[in-house]
Amino acid sequence: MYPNIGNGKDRADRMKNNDRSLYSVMLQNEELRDTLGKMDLVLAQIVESIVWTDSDGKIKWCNGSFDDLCGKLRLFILGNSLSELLPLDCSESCKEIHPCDKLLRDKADLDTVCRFKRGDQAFDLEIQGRAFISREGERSAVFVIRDITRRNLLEAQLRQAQKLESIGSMAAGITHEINTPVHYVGENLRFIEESISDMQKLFLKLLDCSGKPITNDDWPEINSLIESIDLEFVQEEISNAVRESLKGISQVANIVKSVKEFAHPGEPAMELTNLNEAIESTILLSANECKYVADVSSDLCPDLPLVPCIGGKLNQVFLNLIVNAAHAIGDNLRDKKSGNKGQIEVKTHSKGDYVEVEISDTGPGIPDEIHGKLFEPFFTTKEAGRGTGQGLAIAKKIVEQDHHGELSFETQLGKGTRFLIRLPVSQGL
Amino acid sequence: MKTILFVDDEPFVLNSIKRILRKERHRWESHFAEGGQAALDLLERRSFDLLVTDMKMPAVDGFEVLGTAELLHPNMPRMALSGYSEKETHTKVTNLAQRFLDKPCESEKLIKAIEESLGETDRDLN
Repeated sequence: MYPNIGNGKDRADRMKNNDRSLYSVMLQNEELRDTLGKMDLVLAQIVESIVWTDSDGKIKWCNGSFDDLCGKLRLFILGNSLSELLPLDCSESCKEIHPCDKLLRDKADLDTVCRFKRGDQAFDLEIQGRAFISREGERSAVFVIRDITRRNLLEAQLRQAQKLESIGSMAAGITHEINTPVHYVGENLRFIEESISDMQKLFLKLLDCSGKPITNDDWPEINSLIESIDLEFVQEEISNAVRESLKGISQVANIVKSVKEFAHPGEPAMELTNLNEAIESTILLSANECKYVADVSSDLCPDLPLVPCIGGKLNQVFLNLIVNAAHAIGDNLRDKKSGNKGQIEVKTHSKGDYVEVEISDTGPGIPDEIHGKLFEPFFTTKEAGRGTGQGLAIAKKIVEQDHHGELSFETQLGKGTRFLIRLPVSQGL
Repeated sequence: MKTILFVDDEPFVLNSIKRILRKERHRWESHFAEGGQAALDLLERRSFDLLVTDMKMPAVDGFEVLGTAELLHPNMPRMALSGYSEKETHTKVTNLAQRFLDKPCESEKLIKAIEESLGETDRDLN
């Protein structure tokens, strides 16, 4: 039974309507195609890789950047698992779970940075992901992946530059620290040299008399020799000169050792480190920055566990915080025209899964309005030439990103500031 | 006998100067002040024929010692002996002291500089 299509006029109207709706469907299809084409174009041009996987991590769709990232044709990507296409760069023993599997397991939003490998090449990727259930009830996940290898490289170079800057700014201080003992050791050696040659004269005179008893005639000459070389003084001072020189030499040796430890040449690798030792050598190295404005004391926990860390990087953090403290106190003394030295105190504590390093000063404190900017790169309150504002920004990055720790501070105007570094004793993820 | 005041915050430096100048004891009488404040206390009480001071010292530094000495005893020659090698410090010191010796410095050089400051070499030359 055909539907009643009515009389001629009705039919013509209806056909016109049908044409119109057919036309509008065609138009809509064209618009859709157009929109899809645009979307495709846009998604293909996005620098970030976008990947859509099913609940098993098999890739349902990806954009062009992901093809480039994997170095594979789309054909070999679709249907394969993301964790196989982008394997993590870690050793056999590494128990790290692939972020993709983690997202599918935990179903919590993912935002992480990992190192992956492609052939021999390692690269750092920042991955954000979200799991969701589609309208059809299908579980799946979308990942946005950004290649940050180059950015990491630049940041590493910046850190290196800041490290050189902090070593450079201390070079004058270190020179002074070394020059002083070198000066008195040199003077003492000259004194010892002269004293020995004086004593030899006396010995020779006494040897002249040996074999035969010293007669009354010999005494005036011997006595005047004793007086001219000031025997009593020389005898006493030679041993003092040697003792003080040995102290001076060991001071120089300690400074040189600290510079070496600070610079920490070689591949930056995580290794179990005695933080107390690292802190002691940093304090020694910064002595010249500090000792004219503050007394530096340390209260280091004797049972501090070894902490996995990149020694060279953490030394840089300690140094920055100590030198900042000294500058804060020094500027304050200058402003107040006060001759009283401040205090810098470095403490370590063991707190179960964490160790804490506390660096506090009796400086002027940090005003409220700059609390938020303190860790921003290039933010500095120091005059030009005294700092580029990289120190705290890099310190925070080293503590929090490289060591999964925390760097925080407490401050009170007019009283001082305390920086607190918390580092996990175990770095397992 | 000429009197000389040596100022340094590091006692080992003063000790080494005392030792090296022992052989000059018949012509020079050496006095030692450990730190800037001790130097100011001495300078308030008396004058010397020559002042030799370290620059970088806590609380009262070499600049203050040289400046005070210039005020109290304008005719007393002043010499700086410092391990600080910054150009800036050099320029600033030359306004306050007639001579600047870098640490480390050989004792012969120090003795020669002292002789020149005391005008003794001139007399020898004449």
